[in-house]
Amino acid sequence: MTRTTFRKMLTQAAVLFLVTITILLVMNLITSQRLESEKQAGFQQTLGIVLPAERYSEISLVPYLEKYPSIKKAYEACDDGGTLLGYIIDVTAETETGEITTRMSFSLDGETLIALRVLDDGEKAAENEKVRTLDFYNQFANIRVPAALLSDLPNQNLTSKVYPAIAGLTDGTFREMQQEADESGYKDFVEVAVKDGRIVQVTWDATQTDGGINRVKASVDGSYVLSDNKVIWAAQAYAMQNKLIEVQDPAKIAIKSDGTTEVVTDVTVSVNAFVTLANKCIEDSKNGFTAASVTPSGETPGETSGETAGEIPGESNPDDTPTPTVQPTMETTAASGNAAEDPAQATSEVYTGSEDGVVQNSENGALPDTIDGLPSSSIKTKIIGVEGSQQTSRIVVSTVNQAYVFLKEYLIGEP
Amino acid sequence: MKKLSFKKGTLPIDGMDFSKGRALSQERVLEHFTPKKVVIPMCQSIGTPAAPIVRVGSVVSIGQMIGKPTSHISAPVHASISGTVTSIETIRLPSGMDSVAVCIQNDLKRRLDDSVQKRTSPESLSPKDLRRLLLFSGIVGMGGEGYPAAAKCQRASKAGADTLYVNGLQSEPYLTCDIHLMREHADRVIQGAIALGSVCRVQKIVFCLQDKWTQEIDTMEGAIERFRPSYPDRELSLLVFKARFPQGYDKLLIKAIYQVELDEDQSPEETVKAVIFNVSTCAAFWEKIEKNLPCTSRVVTISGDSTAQRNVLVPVGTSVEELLDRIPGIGACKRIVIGGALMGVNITNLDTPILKTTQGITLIRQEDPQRTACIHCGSCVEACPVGLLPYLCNRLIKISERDALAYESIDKCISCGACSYACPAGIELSAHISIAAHEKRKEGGGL
Amino acid sequence: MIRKYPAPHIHKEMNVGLIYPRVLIALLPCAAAAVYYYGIRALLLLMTAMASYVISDYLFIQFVRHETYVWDASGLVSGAILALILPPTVPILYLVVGVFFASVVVKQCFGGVGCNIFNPALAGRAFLSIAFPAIDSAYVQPIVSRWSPGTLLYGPIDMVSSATPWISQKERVFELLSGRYPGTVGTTCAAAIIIGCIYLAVHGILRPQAPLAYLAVLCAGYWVISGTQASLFGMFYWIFTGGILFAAVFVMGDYSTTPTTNYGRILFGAGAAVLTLLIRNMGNPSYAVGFSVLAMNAAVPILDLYIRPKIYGMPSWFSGKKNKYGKITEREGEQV
Repeated sequence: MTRTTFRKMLTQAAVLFLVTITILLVMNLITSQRLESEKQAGFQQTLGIVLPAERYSEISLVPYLEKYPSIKKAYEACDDGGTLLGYIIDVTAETETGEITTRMSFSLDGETLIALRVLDDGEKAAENEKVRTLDFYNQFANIRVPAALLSDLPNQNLTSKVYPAIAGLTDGTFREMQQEADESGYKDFVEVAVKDGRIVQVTWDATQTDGGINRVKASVDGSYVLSDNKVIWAAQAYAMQNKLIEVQDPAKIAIKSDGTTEVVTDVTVSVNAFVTLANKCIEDSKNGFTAASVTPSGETPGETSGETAGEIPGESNPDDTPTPTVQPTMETTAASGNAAEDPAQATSEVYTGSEDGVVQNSENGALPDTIDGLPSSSIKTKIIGVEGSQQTSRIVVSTVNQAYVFLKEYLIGEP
Repeated sequence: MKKLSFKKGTLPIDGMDFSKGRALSQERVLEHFTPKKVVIPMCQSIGTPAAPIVRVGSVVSIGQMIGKPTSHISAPVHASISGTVTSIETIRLPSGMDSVAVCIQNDLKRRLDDSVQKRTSPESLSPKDLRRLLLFSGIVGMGGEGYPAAAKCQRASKAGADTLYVNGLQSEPYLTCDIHLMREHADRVIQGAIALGSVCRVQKIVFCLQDKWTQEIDTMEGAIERFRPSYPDRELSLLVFKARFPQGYDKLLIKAIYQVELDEDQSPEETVKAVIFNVSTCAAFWEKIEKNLPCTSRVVTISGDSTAQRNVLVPVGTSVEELLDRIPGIGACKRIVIGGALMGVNITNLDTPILKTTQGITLIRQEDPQRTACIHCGSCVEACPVGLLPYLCNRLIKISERDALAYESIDKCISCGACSYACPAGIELSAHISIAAHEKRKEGGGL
Repeated sequence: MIRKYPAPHIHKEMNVGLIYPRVLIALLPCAAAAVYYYGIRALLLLMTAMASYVISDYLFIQFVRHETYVWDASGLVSGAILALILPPTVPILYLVVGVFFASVVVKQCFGGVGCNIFNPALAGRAFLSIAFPAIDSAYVQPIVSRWSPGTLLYGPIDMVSSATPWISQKERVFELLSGRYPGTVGTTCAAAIIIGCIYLAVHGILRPQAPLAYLAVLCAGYWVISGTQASLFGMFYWIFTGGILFAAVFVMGDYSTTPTTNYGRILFGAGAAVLTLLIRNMGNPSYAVGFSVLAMNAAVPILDLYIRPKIYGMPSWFSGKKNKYGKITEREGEQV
């Protein structure tokens, strides 16, 4: 090839290159607008069901790919003026039968889930059909996140399960008190109010033998302080009270041998006294005794027979002389301890904090500390799973939590 | 009168425009070249060579016969300059044959032979007279073929030809000698052709031209118009052909006009009743008729791929060296080719004489292309006018696959060189195939 | 001036030393489009393919055949074509393996330049598709993450899972022409291919018979198959996508693997078109063009043998008897 031909070819090459680049730039300019508007229209269709907006732009997931492999897509939704309305996140999770993808929209702060949809993968339609119902979706409308499946959560967070009341309760208020004070000088007492056969109110307090203020008040004041506890006694008592109202039977609260329980949040003190006294009150209710008919000191005006002997049903008859209440306290403690242990070994009604296979984080397997990596205390909404698709429902809820965690990190990282 | 352009069977190189960038010389008057000495070979035509009838030391003049014909198919040779015969020796011609040649030293007097005189009434010559004139004019096919014109006319009249074609298709690149004649001396050409037609007893005369020589077409048309009334019994016409390379090759010409393909041994006169003559031949014949000047000089084009092109009137026998020395503007070149650039012969010895059949000298400065392996592109197939597959023939020749080669009909090759011209890989297809074809024809025709 | 040369003494300007660089220049618009859409990754793929092709050629010729290696740009051309018909996320290792296969097995083992039966770039692509099927689903959206160094190693991230472009059959003329859709590296931009085609045609390197026959039969096939749903835009969509234009210009115009005669080329193009139609409609569409052209390449020696121009003085091929070379041995009853 001579030099002139070489130079000629070089110029031809340069010309072709420039011509092509020009054509490409021009065409891309022309196509960009249309592509953009079509893309937006497409987004409106697919993303609009979870969060209607004017414009959607995709968020680059490149920095998050390793940490959040399940987050497939994330979008920002804006209105015409450019102000952010919220975020839309697609999460894919594995089920036994395949993959499921959910699309959910979050508020700007990432705390509220505005809407959720399960995407139609086409292949796993049969499995997903059950969770793709409007009822299920409605549970996710405008809820605080993180969320958890109802059956994953421990007892006191259950809102929908209704425990049956103990049979044979008569209405009224029943009160029982310990015979002797404990080492701090407090005597515990429990009041149980029954209405329409159900326990509707429980009070657990303690009086000071030397006439001071009750323990609830003292703990609120700060004069009664529990060691190694962050939560004051009043709150713990309050929690126990509510729990009893929920489960309606002290036997349903799993109590360990040392008297503490792990199924009630924030309760770390020994609740033996409470359980004993509560059981006594329930016996009173069964037998029809009211608080008015029982004095704290154990004196029985008139009928003395069944008061304190009522905790073991059917054992005493009204003709027996009442056994001294002191003994019964011990016995009841022991008995209630027994009674507590027996239920702990399970009737199926007793809640020990686990159901069909949710991973437990605590050592003795009674209560999960975390759900999907989030502490149980942060769970703010409970979702009822779909009948027959518990596993899928759980996975849907876990995708919500994953998106929540991702969004939190993304929002921190935003400039 | 003017017919449409014909196309050939296959097309070789398309419309080569070799005058790109350089204007073709359009000289009106030719330069007459005067050599110092000439070497006139006796063998300038097909057939038996002439026998010299002069001796060393004889003084000759222009137009004097120095070699007499020795057989039916033989042409006499005349002296092209006046001077003294210095020697009679054997030389080697560019075609590879040896021939006896008469060397004459020019005495620069330009003495014409006594027989060379202007004729008073050339029109009154009868065909018999014309035939006699032709026989002693020493005219051969000046387009390169070299068949003695007299013998050809005899053959034509015996075969009963009815058309005479004047071949003005100068399709070799860079050559314009015939074109010049047609442009400047159209009268001579036409009258000569008519005379030849009389000799052959042919009524129809057709002039063939390529379509890219528009000026010459116009000139010839005008001349034909002028002459038509003088010869009412003759049919004069013009045929225009597409500009392709071996357009002027006689077999391809016949195929283009009659769509008939001739075998090796068939002649156009027998098969299609057509006889073909070159333009220079016709012009030379008219010179003989008009001035009784035999064939002693001809128009030669000196040109090349980087040289300015010029036509010179050169006496037969001039050596190439002398010619090139005296012509200004000949720069350094890589090759000197006698004949056309595509079918000519590359000469190494510059003492070669110009023959009656030499159309021009081409000076090549172009480099040989780089030789690579055959890339199977098919350019050669496109180029071959005879329909061979040159790449395949070359491959078979290289590996000496005789059996397969036997079916490739390489004896049809006309050695036009179009395949080598077109091959991008620079393979010498034409050379190899021509050699093999020659061997095959020697072995015994057919197949 | 001493050596005697055989005729002819002049030569056409076109020679091998000019053909392949000109084809490279014609590929330049496609390469420009590739770099425009896929950034450094496309550049890396092109350079690697071309360099490794030349190196493997050189190694084979020097050390296996023991001949001196003559530089010609055909290696660059084949390497560039192979790089342009692969998706941008193809791993570099696979590309190099494909190049070695194309260069050594397909081209050099059959005889080198001009002697190969199969188109090396297409054969390399077919080899990669079969040996590493994952690459056929590795198409990405163009113009995203072009210049980040991460793409250099792993290719662009945004995967699209189908080989057919995402644009549906709507009136998207500009997208078709400019190639702004997921696809192979260099074959999507129709405008670039057309520019290259014009360049080649102007310089006389592209023989129009095979490409025109290919496209014509494809268009006819489209109208036949689509029946009532056919439309002009649909036809252009059909032709411009799937690498058909690229194959028509650069694969049908390759000298070594196409027939030498005009009719042969027309048959070649038509045959390839018919096969492409079949495979595209009833088989795996991403294999359509490649395998149909490879099949016709295998037929080229037969096309060359039997489809010849008519020899001067011999009867045509369709009359008389034929011997094993396809030539006539009898003419009108007499032995030739």
